[in-house]
Amino acid sequence: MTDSRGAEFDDFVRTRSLVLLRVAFLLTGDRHAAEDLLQEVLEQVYVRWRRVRSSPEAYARRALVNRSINRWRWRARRPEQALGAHDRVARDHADGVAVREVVVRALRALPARQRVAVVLRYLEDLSIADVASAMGCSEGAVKSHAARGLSRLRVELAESQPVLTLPDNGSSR
Amino acid sequence: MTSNDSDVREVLHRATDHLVGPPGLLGEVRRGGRRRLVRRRAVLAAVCAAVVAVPLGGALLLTGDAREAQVAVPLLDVPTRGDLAGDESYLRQVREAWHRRLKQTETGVSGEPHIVWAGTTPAGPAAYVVHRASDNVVVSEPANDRMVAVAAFVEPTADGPRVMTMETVTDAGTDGNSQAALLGPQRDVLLVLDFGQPVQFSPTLEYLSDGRVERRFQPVVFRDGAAVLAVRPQRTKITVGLSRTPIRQENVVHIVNATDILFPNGDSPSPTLLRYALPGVEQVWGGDPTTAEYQNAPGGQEVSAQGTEALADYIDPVGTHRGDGSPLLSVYGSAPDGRRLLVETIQYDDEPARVIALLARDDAPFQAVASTFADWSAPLPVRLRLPDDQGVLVAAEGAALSYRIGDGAWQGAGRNVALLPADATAVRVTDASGTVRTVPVTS
Repeated sequence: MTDSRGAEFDDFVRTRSLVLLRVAFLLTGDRHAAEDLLQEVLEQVYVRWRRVRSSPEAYARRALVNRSINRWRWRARRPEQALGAHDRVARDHADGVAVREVVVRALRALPARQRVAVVLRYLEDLSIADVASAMGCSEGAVKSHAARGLSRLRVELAESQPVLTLPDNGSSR
Repeated sequence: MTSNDSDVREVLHRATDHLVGPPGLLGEVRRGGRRRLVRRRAVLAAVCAAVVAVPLGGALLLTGDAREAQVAVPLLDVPTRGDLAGDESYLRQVREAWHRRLKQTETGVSGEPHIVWAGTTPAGPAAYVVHRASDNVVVSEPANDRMVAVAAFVEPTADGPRVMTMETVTDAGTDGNSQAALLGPQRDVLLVLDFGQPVQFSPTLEYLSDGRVERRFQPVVFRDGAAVLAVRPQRTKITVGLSRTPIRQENVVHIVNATDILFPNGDSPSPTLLRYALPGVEQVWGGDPTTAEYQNAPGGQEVSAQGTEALADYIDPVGTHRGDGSPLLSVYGSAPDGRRLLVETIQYDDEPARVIALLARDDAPFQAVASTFADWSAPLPVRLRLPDDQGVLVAAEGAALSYRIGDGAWQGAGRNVALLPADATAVRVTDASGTVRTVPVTS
């Protein structure tokens, strides 16, 4: 069967899928799960394109958040695949893998909504309002989740200092 | 955000720097999206009133407020239309068939079904029924569309009225619902319901000599709630097309039993994917697009033109098709003038494959520059001349290829696929069994 959503949808997928994949990876902690999640969400965007074409990324992000939170709820009942097992590809440096494992482990220690707030706020650099829209909660709740999440993440990361060298505070990006 | 947050930002970015876009993501998303669209319109069997989550165009979420105030269902508010609207005997048969189906599917409904349309057709009496859902459950998220009703066409059979595929109707409207059905044993009667919007009808898909598609449309004239059109038998493939205006893919009017006709035994046979890279491909593509390494690498070019504007003239804007297992060819290379070359085939049902050559300079979008039909049974299935003396693309899976110019010596051109000089006059094809055939390059 053939159909076409036109170049607009294709452009959206081409230009925004990597950004969304990064978010999905940090929310799921698993590359394969992140890719699956991303594909599911983009398929959802495809189906809904007529209704969401004015702001497809916001829609996709919201779906990503909802699905990742639900996934995290049941993942505890399933054995988790070790990250390094499939992510340590040849071109990766060992320290890159170490950073990844430490960050994912630290994020896993956060409650789901704190994790979402931290990832959207500090990976995507979204505004409080945009994070609130993606999470379906108030801006006050986002501030609270982000602050608590950030604080706890720092503690988790600090415990991994032998492995992870944090850049100096205030370093630019 | 304070400057002190930069350490966290930095570390989150470092943890994701290794990620690259999944290879072939766009194609996979499009395929998956199409499957979801089909599923969305497909069988509503066993949507239990109890808590069973079924994906119908998204996750089915049974929210806590599912039993809140009923949502309006415009289809329930219109009187029955059609020339059998007053035929109580037929309407009773329809309701009986409907209730039998409801028992089978255990669908949660409330009140009585409403027959939106009932009328005579050359295939026999037919109808369209809507029944309010007992629970307005959310059937997609995060759009939060709510199920408001179930609906189905009722077709004539030798055993009396038969309820066709039941679909959910949501508060988002009926755009996603089937609006037409092919009736009769030959599937040669097309019933189109009047949902209040103009609809255009095309009886058949035709091809121009270069493989571009051509459809001629005429407005559907509704009378008393529906239109009944005589069409060619659609038993094995669908040639008809319907669209709301303007005519385009997003406005396609769905035919409820199209997938049953196209896939009577399940899925269609998978095509053999033939992906070849011509010598020198790295110079303009930055690598070999047929390899996973290329598709995984950041900054790699899109390896398929499917779904892009460049192929719009070759895509049926409103039809529903399947594959027949014929090969799908993708050739990557560079034209003599330095442009990226991509050759792809598109094939519908059991019809000939079209071969389209696309060229792009640097990172500009592809433009379709030449096209023809492939003949997979011929010694040289693909032979396509590129414009501006950019050569002749030839392909024959598993064959050794050579060419010559006039009476000159034969020059080797590799296996499977080659871009020959524009002044080549003949191709020699040596297949896997050693049989040699010479094919003229005349056009």
